[in-house]
Amino acid sequence: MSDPVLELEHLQMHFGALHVTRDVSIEVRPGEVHALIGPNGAGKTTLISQISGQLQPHSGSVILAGENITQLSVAERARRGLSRVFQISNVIQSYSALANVVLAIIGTEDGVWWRWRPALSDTSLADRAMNALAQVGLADKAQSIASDLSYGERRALELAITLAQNPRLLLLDEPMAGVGREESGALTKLLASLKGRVSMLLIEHDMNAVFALADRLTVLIGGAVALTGPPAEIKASPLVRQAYLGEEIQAATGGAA
Amino acid sequence: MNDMNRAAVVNPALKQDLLTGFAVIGALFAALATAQIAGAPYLTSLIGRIAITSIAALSLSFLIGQAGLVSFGHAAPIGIGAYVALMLAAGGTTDLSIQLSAAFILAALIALITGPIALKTRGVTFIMLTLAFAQMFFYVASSLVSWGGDDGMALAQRSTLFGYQILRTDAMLAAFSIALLAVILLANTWMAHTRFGLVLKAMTENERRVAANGFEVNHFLLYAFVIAAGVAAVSGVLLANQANYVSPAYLNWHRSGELIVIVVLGGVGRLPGAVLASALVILFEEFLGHYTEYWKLGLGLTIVAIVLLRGRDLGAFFGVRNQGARP
Ligand SMILES: Nc1ncnc2c1ncn2[C@@H]1O[C@H](COP(=O)(O)OP(=O)(O)OP(=O)(O)O)[C@@H](O)[C@H]1O
Ligand SMILES: [Mg+2]
Repeated sequence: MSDPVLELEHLQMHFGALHVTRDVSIEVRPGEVHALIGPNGAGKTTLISQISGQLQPHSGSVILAGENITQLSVAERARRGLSRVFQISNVIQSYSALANVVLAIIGTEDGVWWRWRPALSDTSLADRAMNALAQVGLADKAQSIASDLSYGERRALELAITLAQNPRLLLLDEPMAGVGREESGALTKLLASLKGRVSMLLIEHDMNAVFALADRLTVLIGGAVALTGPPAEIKASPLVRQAYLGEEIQAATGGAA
Repeated sequence: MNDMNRAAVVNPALKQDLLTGFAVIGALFAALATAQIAGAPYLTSLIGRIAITSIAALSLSFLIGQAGLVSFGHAAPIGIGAYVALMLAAGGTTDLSIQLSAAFILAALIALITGPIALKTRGVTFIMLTLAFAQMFFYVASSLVSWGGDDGMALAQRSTLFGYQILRTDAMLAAFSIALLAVILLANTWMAHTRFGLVLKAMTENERRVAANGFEVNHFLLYAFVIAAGVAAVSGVLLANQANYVSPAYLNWHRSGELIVIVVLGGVGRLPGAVLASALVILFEEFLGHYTEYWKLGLGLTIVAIVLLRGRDLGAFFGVRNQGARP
């Protein structure tokens, strides 16, 4: 079995008196969709932030493809292939969809001198950006200003931004939240089509999406890992059903579980 | 990828920005020619001052508009440039190729030291820190007793270029300043449309997104801070020549404030607007300044009037569009 893409080793973090991450150790394997579920306030977003670098754990380490990245900046982690879709939509509102993706692509370019080359009139950049936009179904909105897009379209745009960076690991913080039923279905399909090619750590409250996508799940409760395992095992666990899932699982599996 | 998508990608804004820039430069040259033909030496020197101030305003407009950094210490690099010219000229090194590079490099190096400290903060704290650093250099300049201390000192001789006395008359100085302004305006416009410009502009709106894209936000802001300081120092060398004199007054915080006023008046981020606003402020200073000590009151009232009347700023007033890699 090949080495994990991501390993979290004994992460601990506090917000003042609030122990928000309690000795969390998780691994994401290559090509795997690993879902992170848990009730509101369980510390899922905080954990993602420690992986992508916006927050520093107080102890423990974050290891990406064998390299310890715990001390690296957000930008350095991004250049090593960590790409995050934020829980609260986060794009450059005044830029066109295309420019947002172009910006993401040049973030992956190496060297210094590229900076003095033109950006938006570079057709090879634009081609790559259009490709990413087409993947998420936004090709015809390429020239639209991001603030004019619908919420669902902006979520899709964020996905295009991350895809354009050819990430090693996609960190998805509730990509379906606030998105309409139809768009959420399309988004699930899109993520399913990426399965196997990109490793993903997926936070999602929509259990239909989670069980449709996840290879393994980790349940986080009160900042600690309650359980990790394949979907069947999670569905069957009385602990998890009691603490969190219950009705949602029944809904997702038509009450058969 | 089909041709339709391609065509849409080419940025028409760049062409527009270049045309506006050329128009502004052309107008300055035309005004200079008119002043020469009409035999108005006073007007000639005024145009020179406008061009020189425009270079400084342009660099600050870039910093505020493109990088979102409001520096209240921009007089410092200007003053540093002026002192470099003074000291080099006193030592007999009058060549502009050396003076301009030395001024640019020294101011850039100093910005490379003060920048990372100031950039630990944002907003009002950043403004106060840049002001504090500039005040420090003001006192340093005042304490240079052998260079005239508080009073300053006359320039030994005007700068030359490759042995030619290219700044001998005020008209030549004005023409050289306008030419330099043109180069800087072009470089600045072009930079706004590079990858660097696209990243910088995005940072002013959303640093978190830009960092998540893999850009080290503070590095980019530091580049902008350093470049702006270097360009301001270039205007300082010209200023020393224009006045034939250098004193700590060039580093006074009033000067930094006046530059911010010019940038705001011209429209933040509107590069040609900064040139128009420089002209307006200098003309005000000259003509109202003759009648009253309180010309700044008149300037203030005019700014208020413009903002109220137009609901916008001077750049928009003259139809100068906002700059930047705006898709
Ligand atoms: N910057 C902060 N300072 C203090 N407390 C915080 C901060 N950010 C989050 N918290 C707290 O940490 C806990 C975990 O928050 P987090 O956002 O990680 O939860 P979550 O699992 O993502 O929840 P949700 O499902 O609602 O998104 C919450 O109690 C929250 O109030
Ligand atoms: Mg959350």
